[in-house]
Amino acid sequence: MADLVTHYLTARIPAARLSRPIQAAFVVGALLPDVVGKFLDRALQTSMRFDVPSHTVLGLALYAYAACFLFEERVRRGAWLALWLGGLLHVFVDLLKDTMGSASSAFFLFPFTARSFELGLYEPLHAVWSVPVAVVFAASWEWFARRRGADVWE
Amino acid sequence: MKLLFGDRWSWAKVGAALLAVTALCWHARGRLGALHPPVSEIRMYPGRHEGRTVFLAPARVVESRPDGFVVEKDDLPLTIRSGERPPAGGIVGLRGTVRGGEIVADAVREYPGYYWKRAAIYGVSGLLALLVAWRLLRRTRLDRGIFETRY
Repeated sequence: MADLVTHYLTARIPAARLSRPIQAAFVVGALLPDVVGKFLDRALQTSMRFDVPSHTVLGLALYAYAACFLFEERVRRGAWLALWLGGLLHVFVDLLKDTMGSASSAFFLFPFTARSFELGLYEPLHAVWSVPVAVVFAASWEWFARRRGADVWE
Repeated sequence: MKLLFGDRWSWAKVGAALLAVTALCWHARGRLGALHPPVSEIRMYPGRHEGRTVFLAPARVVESRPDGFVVEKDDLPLTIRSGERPPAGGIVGLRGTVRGGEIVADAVREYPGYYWKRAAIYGVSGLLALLVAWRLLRRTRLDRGIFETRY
């Protein structure tokens, strides 16, 4: 996985023009694959690729559908779309990694194909050097957004 | 759309979505698990997985040999045939192929500082997830189980 702060930033900044509940759904959607995937993998100790659908196009559509019921009825359809697109953005960011084809996101078209694909631009552990920068950017963005009265979470 | 996203029968809809995703997870386990078997499967049934691609999650090298190296996996030694000889004590991950019941490495990658880097990434990610969950809960009507917005 890339770190969640980077995923947060990649969703938070481009989604800034969306309406606020939808924006929150988009940001949550961008965190959803890792939260679900790690829960299945670490907490439930599932094995042998059980967690792969948390990083696939079809799996994310279903997870997003279940999660959209946490939103009010009047925004639920938009929330589902935002959760799903946020999840797909997460997968796209993950596809930039080089895991030798082993990452869950490399099977993003499963069950339509079982082939793995990734762009292989950086090693996941190298994210440790970008995390401090991402944290500063995220904190600064939230501070400015709050000052402008555009806090997505309020 | 009202049928899919309306409040009526919402618990049944969530349940159906979770059932569908669980079926998809089991399908992934069966199909991808067979295509890319875990080390425990290869140990138990070495003849069954001939030619399959294996991904080995980062593991500690315990011995370097002329024809490869030995890693510790699930507290047991595992011999990898490889042209590369990473030093003992290092952490490596690899992609390999099962040949003659053994794993032959196609690509080996060393991960210097693996444990502290991974702990740092997981730590920061965990903190962010907690922060987002806390801020979402502040806007959640727990009695109705929904995220509520003022807008």
